[in-house]
Amino acid sequence: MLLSGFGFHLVEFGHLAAYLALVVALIQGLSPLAARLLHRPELTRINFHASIAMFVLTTIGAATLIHAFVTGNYSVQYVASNSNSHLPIFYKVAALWGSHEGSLYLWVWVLTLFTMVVAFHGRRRYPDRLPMVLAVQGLLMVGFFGLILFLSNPFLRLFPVPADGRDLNPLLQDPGMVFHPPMLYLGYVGFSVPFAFAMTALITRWKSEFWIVHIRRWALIAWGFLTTGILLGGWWAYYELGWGGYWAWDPVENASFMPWLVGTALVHSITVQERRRMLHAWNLFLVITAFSLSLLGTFLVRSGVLSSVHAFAVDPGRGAYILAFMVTVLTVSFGIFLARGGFQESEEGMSSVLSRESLFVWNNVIFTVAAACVLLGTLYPLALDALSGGQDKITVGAPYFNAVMVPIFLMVLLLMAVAPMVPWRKANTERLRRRLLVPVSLAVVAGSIMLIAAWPMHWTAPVASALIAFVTGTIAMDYARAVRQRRQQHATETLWRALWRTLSFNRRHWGGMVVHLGIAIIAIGLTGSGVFRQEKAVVMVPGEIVEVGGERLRFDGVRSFVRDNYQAIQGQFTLLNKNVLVLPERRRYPVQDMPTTESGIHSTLWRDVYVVLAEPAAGNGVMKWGVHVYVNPLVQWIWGGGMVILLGLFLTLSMRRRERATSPAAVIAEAR
Amino acid sequence: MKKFLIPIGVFVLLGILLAYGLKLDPRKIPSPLVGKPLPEYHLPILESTGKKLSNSDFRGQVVLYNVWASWCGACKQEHPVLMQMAAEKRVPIVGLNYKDTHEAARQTLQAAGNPYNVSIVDADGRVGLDWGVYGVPETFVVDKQGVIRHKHIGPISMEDWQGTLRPMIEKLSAGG
Amino acid sequence: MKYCMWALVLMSMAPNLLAAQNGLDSVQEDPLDRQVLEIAKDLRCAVCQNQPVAESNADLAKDMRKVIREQLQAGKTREQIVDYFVARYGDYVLMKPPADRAGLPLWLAPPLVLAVLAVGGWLFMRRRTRQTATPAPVLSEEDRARVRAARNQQES
Repeated sequence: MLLSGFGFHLVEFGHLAAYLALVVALIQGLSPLAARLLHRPELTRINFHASIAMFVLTTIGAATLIHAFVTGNYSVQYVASNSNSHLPIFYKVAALWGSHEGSLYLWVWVLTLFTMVVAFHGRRRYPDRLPMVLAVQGLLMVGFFGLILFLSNPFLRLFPVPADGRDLNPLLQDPGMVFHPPMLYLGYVGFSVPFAFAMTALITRWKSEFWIVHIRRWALIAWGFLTTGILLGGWWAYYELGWGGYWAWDPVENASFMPWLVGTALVHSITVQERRRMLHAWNLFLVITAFSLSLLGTFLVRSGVLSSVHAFAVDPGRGAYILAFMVTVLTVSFGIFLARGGFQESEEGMSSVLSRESLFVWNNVIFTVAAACVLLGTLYPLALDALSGGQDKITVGAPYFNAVMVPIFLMVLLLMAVAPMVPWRKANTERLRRRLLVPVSLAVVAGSIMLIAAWPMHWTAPVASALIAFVTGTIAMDYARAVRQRRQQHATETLWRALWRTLSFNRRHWGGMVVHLGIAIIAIGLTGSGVFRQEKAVVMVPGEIVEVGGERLRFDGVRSFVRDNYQAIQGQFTLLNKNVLVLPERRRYPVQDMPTTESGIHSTLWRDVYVVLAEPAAGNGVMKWGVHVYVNPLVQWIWGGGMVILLGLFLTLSMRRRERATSPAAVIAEAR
Repeated sequence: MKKFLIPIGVFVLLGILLAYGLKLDPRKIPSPLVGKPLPEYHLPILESTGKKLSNSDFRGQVVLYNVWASWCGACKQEHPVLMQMAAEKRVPIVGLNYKDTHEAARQTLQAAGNPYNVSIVDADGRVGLDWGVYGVPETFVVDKQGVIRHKHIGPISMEDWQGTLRPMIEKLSAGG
Repeated sequence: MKYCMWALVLMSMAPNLLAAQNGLDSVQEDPLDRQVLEIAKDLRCAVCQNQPVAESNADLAKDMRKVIREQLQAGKTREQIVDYFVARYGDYVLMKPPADRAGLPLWLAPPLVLAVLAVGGWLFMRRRTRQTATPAPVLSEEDRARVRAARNQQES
């Protein structure tokens, strides 16, 4: 009987696969070294197969864990702590990354996936460098599998086997949480690919014309996933946390935002390298920094050094391991960078201080400042604590970050409006002035309208709306000019065809502009919801009406119901001016005895009515309820802008072969 | 390449900082009240009805205030240490019964033993807030002049008592 | 942006008509509640990590809101109430770090970093523009054709 209770289970097979994966990762990581020491270069060929084996083994491990979750095998400690028989199956699968051990496993699973993709991509295109790229990623896998197997092992078994699990953290029982971590990790881990290329470039003295294409592409892919992950996180916080906002500058959020900022600097400055053959060393530095910040993010979230609303498990041992791993990666990579970076010096000078390339340099300055400020604000409490010996503690909350970052974002918008209008090499100031005339007038008009229409308000609103109009104006003017030119050359084309062909002919450029447009749309959402938010906190009796920002909301009472995984009290509200129901809930998840709030939201393009059912207050025999109502203008634009960004990214990445073949870097590369 | 040494140096400092940070507890907040007089209180006594105590009742002696509650798990952890401290009789220990019910508090003390010379009742947590209490248990060492000299956050261990609190109390009692 | 402003204006007019039809009064927010929340937004609840008192359901946060309310009723100003909490919990309790004492570096650093990097970027560009720019290698049509041919061969 005992044996059947704690006998062989499929998950042991997965555990074995994980150990095998560690061995394979070691082989993959060390094969170039072995090949060199033994003078047998053919040894490195094993890496291609090793990377496939890594993915297969890690997938087997993940599959057995998911199997344990779905079948409710509570002899697995991780399943017992993060699942429950009442959990819907959807969340049982997602519970794999619901806590510390599993999310690290997801990290490494994504890493093996990316590595395999690189292996297939490079087998014919850069066979001589591929083993080194795969080896760098192999070593990263060794580091993570070491952590997983020795310090946070999701395959460990429990005895005696509990009858049921302790349930997934209720806050994570939400669709947003199912997709947010994988997206974020695809972004974090995505930066490991440019990192591996950068290391390979430095170690093997790879000519920049060859590696740049790969680093750029992979940096864009990682950036896209990271952007999606961050937006999904904001979306989840907005729907789930119930305080009407989507971004709180929490350390955990900042941890994902720092690599995003550096990644944004990177995808811009790499264009300068491609077009003007400058900034090679700087780009490699950014690649290493972006990946280091991804590791730092993982460390901050998983070590518990910072206090955060995301109460993740605190374990100093794991923190120490991740820190040691991070320091090793940093030391080795920056060491190699300092030793070999000189080989990757720039080849060309600049023609003028007013040119596209110079504005890209300013872009990098601003994004670096932004990343430094977020880093400072996030780690300053820790530094102060350490330096004062625990005698001085300080909080760096959202008001600080808003005060510092909003001006930086406005500078970004300004740069975004001007830079695409400035030509490479040297700008003709007269022509530039003419090109900017219309967008600048648009900006002035938009800013003034805002000033008049919504006076009085915070100063950011008119400035931001002027800059957003400026950005949109330049992009539109640029596009109109390109379309006009095309129609002059191809007089027979219909307008629609010309519109599409213009985009499709230079997908890199227009993809980038669409991304900019997406950012401008997000800026509209941030300004609207940040500056013009209205809120009321009232106590209501059924039948009463509350009015916020012109929205009339009637409280019709509450009803309660029970679901598999929770019990809920649902407030029934009627939004009178739209005649629709809004249904916020208070839930209690019985297994962890944890209350959560689900906001009730009615969205239109222009505003969200966001209702939170707060606490009941008994008075004179009538049940009164605390109700918080927020009217958040333009929030939906943030998510919409995210979609536009992804669209632009697809356009850029779908660059066709002909276009790729004639890109300067490719031509130069082939000429050598 | 030398110019890159600056940012790399920053990263190195960051690593050292983070390593140090692993040892710190982000949940412990230093109290600015240390070195300042204990804020005034005027509270009923748990054991008897009607009578109240205030700061002035303890003027002229070193007092140890221990914030506790029957619902607090960590209090049970430090309870044996408190019993030991009470047995040593070096200092009066005053319990501040924080946001608790009379019955539960009395039962707890009856069942587990009462280390307190006297317990005062802060039923709505107002005095606790006034003292900067944010988690239970917390312990204040107050000197003869009524000034807070030390605040201990979290359960007291035997080492805390023998290594920090006892020597401090001895020194304060010996001095004027 | 401007369309949305007009939309907002229009939207704010429509419900007023409705209100007139219904003839119902809406629940008013207690102005004291609003004041409490506005102060509580800038205070950090000490037990809940990184959350302002206004948004927290922790017991301590509720107590703190109660104290804010009482002190407001007693005629204390916002500054006095904030100072009351700072005296007990330290600067830790402020969501926005103070611009003096331990918080000073936080406010000095961003403009300083911006200045340093801006000067760095400027110097970099000045140095680069002084270097005589080597002209980009111009490929002749023949070279391009060769490259293309080689590429096609490789890919086919």
